Amino acid sequence: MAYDFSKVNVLVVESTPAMFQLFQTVLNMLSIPEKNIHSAYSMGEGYRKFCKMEHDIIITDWLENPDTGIQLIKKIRMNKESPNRFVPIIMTAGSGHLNRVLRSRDAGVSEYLVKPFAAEALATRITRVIENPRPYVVDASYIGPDRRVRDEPYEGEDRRSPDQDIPAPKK
Amino acid sequence: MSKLVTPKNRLKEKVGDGGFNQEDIQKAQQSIEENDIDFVPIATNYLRLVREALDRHTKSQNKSDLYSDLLDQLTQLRAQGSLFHYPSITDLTDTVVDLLDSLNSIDDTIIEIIVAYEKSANILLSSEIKQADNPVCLALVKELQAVCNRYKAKKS
Repeated sequence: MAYDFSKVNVLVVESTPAMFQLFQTVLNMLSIPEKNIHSAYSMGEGYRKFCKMEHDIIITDWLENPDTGIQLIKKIRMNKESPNRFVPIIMTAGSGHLNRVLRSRDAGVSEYLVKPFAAEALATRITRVIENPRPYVVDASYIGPDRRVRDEPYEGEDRRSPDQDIPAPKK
Repeated sequence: MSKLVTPKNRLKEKVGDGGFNQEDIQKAQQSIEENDIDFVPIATNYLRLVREALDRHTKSQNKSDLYSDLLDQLTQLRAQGSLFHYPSITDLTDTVVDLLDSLNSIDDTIIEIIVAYEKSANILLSSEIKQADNPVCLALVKELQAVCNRYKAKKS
């Protein structure tokens, strides 16, 4: 038995209709119903649709200057009006340069996918956000997955509170 | 004080167990490889935006926005070339994106390199040279790489 995506809505924020069409086809082949895959072509449209539909996964391109994909992630994570600040977000970009990866990470991205991509790579990232979501760090300047991904002991002062007094996403 | 939160995994609750079907992944890969999206108008549009960014720079002499303007369009060209059956464009663009990624700003030599790239990309598109191993593509990439390497060597 495989994953059942019948109740899962995905928002794909892309730079062109052609790229959205490609993602839609690939996601559909991965058993996500076509009607559950929604498009947006700007930060504003993406955020509006997310607020309305409360998607379960967001796949966003870096988008164009000035880094609107990054701004969209920050808005979803930091805005108090955001319907789910913990939604899994996969950033797709044409560059895997460290600078871009770090900026995405610091905005609160869950996974990073370099284009051109293979279907296996996309499936792997979706699987990770389903099976191994990282805990979220919540503070005044950052909300997003824990950026310490290495399983190594941290020797500095632990300034994090384990309290989970942040309300769970509504629904 | 930061808080560490483990939100309820609603996504997992919805999809259940089992992972992706390997056959579905293969079909998805096939859909990437066999898509019939026409890349030429898409690439032409991105090259137009590159040209407009260069023209804006010439008029205003302001290089501050040029770097990100160029990099945004070029990374799209690099990403989408291979996806839409023009690995030649991906390989050519890779050369200049790598150069830009290693910098933080633009100077006049970089602008000349981008103009050379623009001409080469237009040659590939107008001649419908799609494959990266086409001799014309290989020659254009090699020439551009040599220019980029000379620039890097001069700067280091």
